[in-house]
Amino acid sequence: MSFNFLDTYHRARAAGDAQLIVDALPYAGFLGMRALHHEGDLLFHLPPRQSNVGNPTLPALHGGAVGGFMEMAAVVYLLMSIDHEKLPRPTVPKLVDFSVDYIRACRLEDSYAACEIVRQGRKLANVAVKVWQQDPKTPTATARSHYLLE
Amino acid sequence: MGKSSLDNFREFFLQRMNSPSDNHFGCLRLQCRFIEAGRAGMDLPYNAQLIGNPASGVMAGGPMTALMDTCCAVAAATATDVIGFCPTLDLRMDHMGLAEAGKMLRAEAEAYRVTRSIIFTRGIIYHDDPERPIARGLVNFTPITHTIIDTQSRVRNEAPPEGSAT
Repeated sequence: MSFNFLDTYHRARAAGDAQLIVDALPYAGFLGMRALHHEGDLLFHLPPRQSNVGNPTLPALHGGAVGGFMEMAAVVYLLMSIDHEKLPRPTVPKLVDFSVDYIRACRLEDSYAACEIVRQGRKLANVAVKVWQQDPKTPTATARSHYLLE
Repeated sequence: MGKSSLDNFREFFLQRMNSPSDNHFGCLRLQCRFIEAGRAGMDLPYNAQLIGNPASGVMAGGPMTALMDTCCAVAAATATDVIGFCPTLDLRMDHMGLAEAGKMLRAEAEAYRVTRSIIFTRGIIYHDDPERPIARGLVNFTPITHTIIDTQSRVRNEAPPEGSAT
């Protein structure tokens, strides 16, 4: 990890503020996503933006924008949760594989993502991500993914 | 004889995708190289706005997912007699190598099996050598039942409101 990003990482961890990491990742800014600290949980918010539309007829968000939102959410969530005992020198998690189910159309409205670290080992982490719009009980997309941590 | 639906679709899509727009295709600057029946090729130019790792300057996985999803969606859209975009059911990406900072990503995709209820597609993403892909993808779509092509050669699918973006 470069000095600057490592510095950002340590500041974000010390302050418990994931937005500091989001601000340091250009692609997260491209999508317009925000970290959302909500009742002790770290969630992510993707406000509706024309630049993320893939289907102008509905209109609906591009599957790639939704997938990208989920991946970046998982990366930031991992960076905010990495167990230092297991991983004293963290790097930006590298995506190994990613599988997403598009359950219903993501409309041009507020989207939210919640992550769950299913397992973090010394080398790899398995992260599940859920995206919803109006109601967390009716997800618009779910994903599972593996990240290389070293 | 008028133009085939495939010709109409190709004309519509190339025109839409390869011209500036404020939607996701335009913002990613995705460029379509070719469209054949059940096959497509697209490029994603390197763009510093899409960096996912500030330490290395490598683009994030998300733009690669968007490239794969779009390329496979066009392969699926042209895989049957009913030409038009189909809702994405699911997508899987395997990242076997690291992309390099500063280099364009190229994608090729094909619909390799079409059944009554699913169109199965697969694709690769590479820099220079298609024999050494950086990523592979599998994307499944649900076929649409009919397409409307109006007089302006515009293709719009009549898929039910459920389903995904492309």
